[in-house]
Amino acid sequence: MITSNRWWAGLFLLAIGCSPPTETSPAPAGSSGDPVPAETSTVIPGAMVSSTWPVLMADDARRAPFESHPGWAALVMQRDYPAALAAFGGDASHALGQARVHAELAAAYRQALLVGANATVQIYGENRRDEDPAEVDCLLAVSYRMLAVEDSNAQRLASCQTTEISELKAHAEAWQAWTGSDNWPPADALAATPGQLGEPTVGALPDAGTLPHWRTVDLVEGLEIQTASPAGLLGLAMFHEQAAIAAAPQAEAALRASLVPFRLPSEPAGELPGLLEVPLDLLFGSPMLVPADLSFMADVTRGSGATAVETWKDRSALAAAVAPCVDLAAPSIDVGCVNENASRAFDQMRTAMEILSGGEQGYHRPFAELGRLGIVRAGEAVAESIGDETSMGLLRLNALDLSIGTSAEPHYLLSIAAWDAGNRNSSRASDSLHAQVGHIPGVEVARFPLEALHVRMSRESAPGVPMH
Amino acid sequence: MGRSRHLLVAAGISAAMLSTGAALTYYEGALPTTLNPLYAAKMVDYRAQELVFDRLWYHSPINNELESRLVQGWELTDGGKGIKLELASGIKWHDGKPFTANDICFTVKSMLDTGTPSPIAEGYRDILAGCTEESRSTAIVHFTRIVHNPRERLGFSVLPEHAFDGNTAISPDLEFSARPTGTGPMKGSRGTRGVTFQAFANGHHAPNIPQMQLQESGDPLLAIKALINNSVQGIIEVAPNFRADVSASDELALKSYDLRSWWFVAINSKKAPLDDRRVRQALNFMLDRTELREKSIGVKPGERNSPCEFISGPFVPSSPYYNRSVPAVERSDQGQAEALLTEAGMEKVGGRWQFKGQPVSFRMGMEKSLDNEAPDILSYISNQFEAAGIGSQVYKIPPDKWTTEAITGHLTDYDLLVGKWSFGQVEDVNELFYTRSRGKGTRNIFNYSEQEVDRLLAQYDVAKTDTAARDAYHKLHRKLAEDLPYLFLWKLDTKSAWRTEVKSNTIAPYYYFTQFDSWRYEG
Amino acid sequence: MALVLPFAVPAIITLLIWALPGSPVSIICPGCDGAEGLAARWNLDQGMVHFYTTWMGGALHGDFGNSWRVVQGVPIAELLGPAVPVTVTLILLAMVPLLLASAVAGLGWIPRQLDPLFQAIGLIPAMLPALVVYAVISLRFGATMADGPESLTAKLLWGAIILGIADGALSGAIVGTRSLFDNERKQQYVLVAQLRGEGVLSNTLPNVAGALVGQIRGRMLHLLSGAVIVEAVLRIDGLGDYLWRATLMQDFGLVLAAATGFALVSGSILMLQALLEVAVAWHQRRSPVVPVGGVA
Repeated sequence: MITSNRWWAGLFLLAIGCSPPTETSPAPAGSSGDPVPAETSTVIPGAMVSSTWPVLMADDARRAPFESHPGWAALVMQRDYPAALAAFGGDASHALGQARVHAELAAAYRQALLVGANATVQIYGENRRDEDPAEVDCLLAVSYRMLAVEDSNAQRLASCQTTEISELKAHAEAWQAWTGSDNWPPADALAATPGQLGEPTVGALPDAGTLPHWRTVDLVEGLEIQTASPAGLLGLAMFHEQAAIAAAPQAEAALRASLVPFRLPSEPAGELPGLLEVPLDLLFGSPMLVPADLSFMADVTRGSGATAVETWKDRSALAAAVAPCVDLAAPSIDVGCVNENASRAFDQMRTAMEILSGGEQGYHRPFAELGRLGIVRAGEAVAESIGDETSMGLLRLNALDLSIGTSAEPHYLLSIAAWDAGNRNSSRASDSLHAQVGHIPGVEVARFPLEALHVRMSRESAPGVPMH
Repeated sequence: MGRSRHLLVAAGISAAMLSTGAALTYYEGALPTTLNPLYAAKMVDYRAQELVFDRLWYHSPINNELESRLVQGWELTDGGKGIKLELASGIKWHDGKPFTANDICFTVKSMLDTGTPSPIAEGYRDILAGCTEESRSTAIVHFTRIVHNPRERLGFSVLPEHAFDGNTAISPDLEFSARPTGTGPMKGSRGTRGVTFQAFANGHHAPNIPQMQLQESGDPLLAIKALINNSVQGIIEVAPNFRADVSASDELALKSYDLRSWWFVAINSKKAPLDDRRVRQALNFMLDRTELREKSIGVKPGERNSPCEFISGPFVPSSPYYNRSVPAVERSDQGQAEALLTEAGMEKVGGRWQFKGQPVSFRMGMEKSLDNEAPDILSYISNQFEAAGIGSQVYKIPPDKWTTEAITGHLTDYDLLVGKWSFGQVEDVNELFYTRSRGKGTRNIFNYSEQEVDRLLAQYDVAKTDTAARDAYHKLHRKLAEDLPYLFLWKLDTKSAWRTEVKSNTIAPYYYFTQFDSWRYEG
Repeated sequence: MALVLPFAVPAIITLLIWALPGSPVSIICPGCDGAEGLAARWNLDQGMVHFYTTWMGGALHGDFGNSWRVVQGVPIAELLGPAVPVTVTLILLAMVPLLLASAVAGLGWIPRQLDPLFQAIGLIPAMLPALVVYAVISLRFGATMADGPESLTAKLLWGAIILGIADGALSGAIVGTRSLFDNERKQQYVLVAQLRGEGVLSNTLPNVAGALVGQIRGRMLHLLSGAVIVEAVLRIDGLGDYLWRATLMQDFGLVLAAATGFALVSGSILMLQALLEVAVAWHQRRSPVVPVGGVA
């Protein structure tokens, strides 16, 4: 059956063929199809560009083992953790790949926990209503604890132990016992959290157990409310962190460093990692371009801000790209400069790859895009560290726009959802979380408080009508 | 803001206009019907109006904080049933007249005036009681009851009292609809082929782009080519089939636009044989949504991070109102369809279904601009029905006709209509399914009426708790999935494309241009 | 006819508005609460005679009211004022190939063997080439095609060529003019004139002038109807495009005004034809009469 529009399409093709040549501005260097330019504007020093993983991977021999393994295809091209774990399973030669998946899952679960915790604080802390049952105090206290916010947590945990739900009472008791202590991880508290995970096992993918964790009723109409404790996700995060280290104990320092930017506020800061030996497997397909980038990002996200940039700019590609954009005196960061430098670094890497490959290849662009994303994310982290909230927000939105296709790292997207939940932007947070449900087992724990927040916000907003 | 800042901003804009003279042009799927915020009927209206007007309160697209450019201070009064607003100083209307408390009160009164036939104003009549002007720079807005988060309720655009000579019954046909006066960053003027915007220096806005033009895009392939050729600098909604081309270009950037949209095929359940639920359910099984999605949007089965996800009810799948226990029908099931049609008394003769001895054929329409997002979808749906033995004639309906006739329930000579609804934070679907009567069911396309549905919608309206509201909508979802006033298709993410010369172009969820002051064009 | 049309056309349209199902204001603003006020504003609340007479009264003073839908709120006079010269320009430009072809055909320089070719070209509906030209122009001018002078010039030129060639316009002009002159050439006085060594054209032209004017008038009216399609497809802001859009969007105020505008243009062409026919007849009356049967 022929569609009517094939006829129109034929006309338009004829029109396009007849169209006179149009004047366009000269394409910037590095555009696809352009000859390789002699020089490209430098953001990252030349020697450092050659040592970034995208450029290293322009070597066919070095890239071949990754290209041919379905585990890496699933992890890097699809961002499909279950498929990657399954493909890596039992292949000792790719133990680092397995470790990488577990580490990213550990990061993802931490961010999902923050989604849940932030949403819980927003709805039951900032926007508490008469209908909310007393049991929410338990969830609120645990959430505050995860966020390292002291807000009568002990009293809340004490008061909610009057609940008739025995499992919830045990949960509250365990967390109350942990409140005020510095033990990490809170093993006893986790033991009283729903979901039996068992011993951390390489290749395993547990979920959060039966959901919802508890059912209670609202205080006005007695209708059932389903709840879940965000702490359930902490157990999963710990599980995968330990599984990552078990898979590749020789890379423990690098694995832990990669998790620092995604740590919970309540987690101990730990030792500052110096320059680390980082295997290529832990960099490949990530926005971290060179080994020093892991240390740089760990340093920045611990609050060192502008100091970290100065310290690492000669060793870290991300720091080198971001450094010219930081105003130490203000302190502030120039968003336009970061985006511009990210684009120029993208061109640099593509040019270098083309030279090594003898021409443009299909993988050059997605690999270089990850580098661009890394720089924007580094700028975002620096902005947050130095207290430039507006620039942080803008760079975060820029990074979100860049996080598509192979650049759509689930743990990073969940970190944006966590930020959104903290800002009561429940719509976008819901969309980001929903995109991971079914792909990362158990993240739906965060749905319970987030959806409750969304319903409350939508009912208390200005009236809206469906539009076409 | 001091006078020196006004002068600097004005000088900057003048210099920019003299030095570049280049207008930033962008494509929309259709032209706005009106620039009067009381009569916004389409998303394009909202987006254009966001440039021309200021909403009393808005959410920052960066951190979602509730902010106001018009109000510098506020406090609750009257035990929470009122809010006193201290206005920011130095704000002018586009005609140079000063913005005062009188304008806020005028806007409130216009919305409450029943001589203003605005569906948007109708929504505010339940919450607003009136407004008092305490001084030139102080207004008190009164609510009908104590509300949580009162500022959240004041998201309306403010209108100038002097433009209407104080007449609060505002009609949609006034010249104001084409040449409005606002306090926004741009002064807008609707022409026959597009809308022109000129920057307006003001105390609270400092736009960097002196001129903008909104044009209607037409064919999406031509639109993309025009973007690549720099004949136009932006496209608000890029069809999914072209997003890869945009991503692959160094000169273009794909940007997210948070809009909760879902697609549907509305069924005229007042016309036989569609008044039989079994026939509607059969149509639901005839459609192969997976094939439809692949052909019209380019999403292959099993694709991860797909922008297009199937739905079984009137919400996006990520919404808390979506009932996840109601599965979507992803693939056709001709066996089920045939069984239902046979049960409904239809007969298949020579491969064609007949009802009361006559071959069944449907008149199908679709809002024309949707063809830009899902090319040929109407033809594909028609082909699927043809293959299943049901004939159809297809028509594309101009956006204006869709607004004035389809949505208002006047296209009753159609059997099926393909459309899309978009929502912001509020996902209130009552107006889509309530039995149409004065003030209710104002967007009920085929005047669908079902008692149980009305009861559930009323439950949502009067719900005292969030749980009750959510439960009501979960039940509604299940009921509508059975009764099928719509065949629910999918939710589709929206992406915009802008040339990289357009810098700092933060796109606000739903309203789009809220952060326009930061936009720059280095073309 | 020319004097009646500008009054008859709006009357017929008014009848149609009232003949449509539903109340007129519900057609214009379906679902509007508070429609009674709108009905009064638009003179739709006291029947069609009131509506027609009020509208006509305003029209005679150049006040056609505001557009209800196409560009809501903008005075119609402001929309149509610039549209009339655009349409007239399009028609006049479209006449150029027709007049040239007619002249060449009248002189007998176009062989009959080419008639099937011209007729085949005439079978092409104007919409088809208009769509192709639209695609080319929009690729060339992009978003500026709406109102830039360069794109308007391109659209008018191409639109004129399409109008003048498609839909049988060119073939009609060639065949019609040729047959007119061929029939006249067969007259005895022409043979006599040829024997006297006089030019054929100088003898036949005055006699066919009246019919020629009629043909030209017919062609112009044909072009006027085709202009609606060409303007709509190429997005030329002329009378035809406004009429098209206003009809689709049921903006009856604009439909009335645009249709009346067309009626006025048609009427003007008719008046011009009448004046030319009078002039030709006067010229013929002053010319010497050739007696039947030969030279005295």
